Amino acid sequence: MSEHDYAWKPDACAIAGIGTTAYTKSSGASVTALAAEAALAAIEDAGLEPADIDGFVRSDYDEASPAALADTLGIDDIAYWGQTGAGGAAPCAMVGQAAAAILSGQARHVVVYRALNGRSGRRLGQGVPAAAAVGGGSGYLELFSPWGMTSPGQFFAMLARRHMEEFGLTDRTLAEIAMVCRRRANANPAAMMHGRTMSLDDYLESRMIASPLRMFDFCLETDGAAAVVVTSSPRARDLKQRPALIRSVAQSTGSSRLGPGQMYPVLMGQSLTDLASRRAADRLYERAGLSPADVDVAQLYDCFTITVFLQLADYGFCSQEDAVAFVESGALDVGGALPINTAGGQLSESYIHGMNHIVEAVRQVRGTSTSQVPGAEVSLVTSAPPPGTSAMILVAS
Amino acid sequence: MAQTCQSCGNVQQPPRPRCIACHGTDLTWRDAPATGTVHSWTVVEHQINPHFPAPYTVLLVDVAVPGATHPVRYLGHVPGRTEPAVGDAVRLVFEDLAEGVTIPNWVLDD
Ligand SMILES: [Zn+2]
Repeated sequence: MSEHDYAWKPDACAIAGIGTTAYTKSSGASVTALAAEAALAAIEDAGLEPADIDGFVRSDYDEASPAALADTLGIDDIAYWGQTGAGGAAPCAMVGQAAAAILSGQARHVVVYRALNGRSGRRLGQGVPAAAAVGGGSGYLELFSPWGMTSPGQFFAMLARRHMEEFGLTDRTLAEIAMVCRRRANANPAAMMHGRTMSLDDYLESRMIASPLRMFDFCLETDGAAAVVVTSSPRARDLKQRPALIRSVAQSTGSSRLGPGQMYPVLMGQSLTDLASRRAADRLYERAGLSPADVDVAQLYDCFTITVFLQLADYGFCSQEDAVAFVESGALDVGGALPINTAGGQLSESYIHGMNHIVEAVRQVRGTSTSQVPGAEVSLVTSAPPPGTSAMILVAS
Repeated sequence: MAQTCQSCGNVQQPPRPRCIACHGTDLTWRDAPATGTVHSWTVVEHQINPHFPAPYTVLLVDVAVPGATHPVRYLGHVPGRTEPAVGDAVRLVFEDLAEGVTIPNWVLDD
């Protein structure tokens, strides 16, 4: 085989349909019921019938199995199913996996979904269960839990402190990220924070959770689901919506020095400010034949405000040294150099573990966002860093 | 203690099943110095785990272990709120958590 045979195939597949449930604090529905509602909405949006779907891809954290979802949708036989992770690192990679299944002839119309009762059911922000056994797993919890390092917020607080030390990050910078996302949610009737504005004082007065991170640095907890339909681009052009072409997808674990296994060992790595997102970005742009300057709008994974901040330099929008000035220039706002999280993000729309970001990235290239970037043609979306991450560039057709 | 490869001298943290430099399995433990510096820290104000009453401070500590290519990282736990600066000196103490359970801990040097 030649190198050409291993080349990424830009624009060969597309997202043809999008769907979500309502975003609530208590769905009163099972995770499978939520997945089915979002999947049906995406299938209908594409102009397809459930019987057309022959593949499913989910996150490894999802409680709704492909088999249960297919059964709920009355689909007789599924030809392909798969999953990737971990958790919020998955959504862009899930779309990549669907594209791989389609391009290798294993499926024709793949539903990619994430469903969770993230508030009323399993609350991911609670971190390591108090009764968890430590030792022996790839997560190396035994090196962290005994000292009280037990939740994602505490982990990201350690990263934020390093960005303060190395690059002059302040709480004002994090506040700007939180307020930008809130303004986009205020324009989005589907957002959980649609009706609640946030001022700088509101941000500064929100209680400290794990310093330097306050409550408004944290994402929401949501019951809900989001789904998309992936198919080949020629097929997508025959369907109901303007296709969102998948220009490129990339995954990265970063260097082995970042630590193996789960999230916490990243704290043992050489640098807390050199993460997998940088390598994912390089791979993503190379496959796309595009540069950061080509990006019109971005949905940046935002489990915390600091997560957005650290990706700005990694995805090439500014240097690490200039990242604070970049944010404080208003770059992330509508009309700025890089409008982000235009539905409100996970900080203010909903926490669907990054799947809501993919839905919004599609809306931007369709021209249907509630905070539409005029003429948006190149739409970046990222999934959770670290330790592994994934990202995708969609382009208008 | 820091995991060290007898074959090539690589020091690695966290410990792994094999040496990540030479893939060897002849791994042993080397004593780490009992002093280090603060690499990062957080004061946990919101209690999640009942074993750890808030507020408390978690220290992420750099220790220069001979032979290591970069500082080896450990965690420290300090009850209550402290406001260290990155680079502040820390020292190793051993704390008995329960009968037969002792953990190494890093606390601020005073
Ligand atoms: Zn070795």
